[in-house]
Amino acid sequence: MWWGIAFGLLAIAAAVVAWFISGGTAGTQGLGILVVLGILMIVLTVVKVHAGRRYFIVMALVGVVMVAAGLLGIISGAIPEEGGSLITGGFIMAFIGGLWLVRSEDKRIVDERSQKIGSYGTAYSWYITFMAVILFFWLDMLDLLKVQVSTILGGLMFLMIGSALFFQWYYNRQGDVY
Amino acid sequence: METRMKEFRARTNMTQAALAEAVGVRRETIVFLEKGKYNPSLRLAWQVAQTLGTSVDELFIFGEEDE
Repeated sequence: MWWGIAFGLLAIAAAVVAWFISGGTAGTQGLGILVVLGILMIVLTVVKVHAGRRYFIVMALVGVVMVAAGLLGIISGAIPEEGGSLITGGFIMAFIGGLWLVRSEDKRIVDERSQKIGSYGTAYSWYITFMAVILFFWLDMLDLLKVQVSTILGGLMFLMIGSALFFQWYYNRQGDVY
Repeated sequence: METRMKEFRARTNMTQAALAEAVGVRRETIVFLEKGKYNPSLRLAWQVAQTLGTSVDELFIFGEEDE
């Protein structure tokens, strides 16, 4: 638990230090993302460890508030750049919190089988993503494909999360990892 | 792997949910254990055997294909 909280605090501290070192000129969007990531990491760690219903309600509510704050910030023009990070982070929190709330009590229990399937699913998704990185690297090197970096990074992000969820679903149906 | 979990569970009048709660796992883990589709850790096998009042080697039968 303490590792998750420590990394979250580190992300927030890094954002604050970078902002001070730059004399307040560092890219606000990047700093905003770091702060939101830090908050996300701390909240997720606490939720994962305690796994109680009220934590998920709080998590979902915090997510909704973050989305609302981000939208208000963008509309009012107060935080036009950081608003996007707030909305993204808030949406993820509200989604995860909501998902856990509608899950059955049985599915919320973390046991050796769910941990094993979760670990293997993540590991296989890492391999798939690595293969995709190698593929994109060679496609770019050989001038076969010209795509923007942000498009590739976005695709990899979805590939990693999507393939992890797919492998976890698949092995959960199988019963075990063979 | 074959198991005699269903038989021993019936003897002790335990439901899958009750057994799952007693050993601290999901009910679906007990379902897959009974189907012989999940190979448990030694700790879980021992806990299940203890809860059902038997021993690990009586509860789980490993065939040659499991080796």
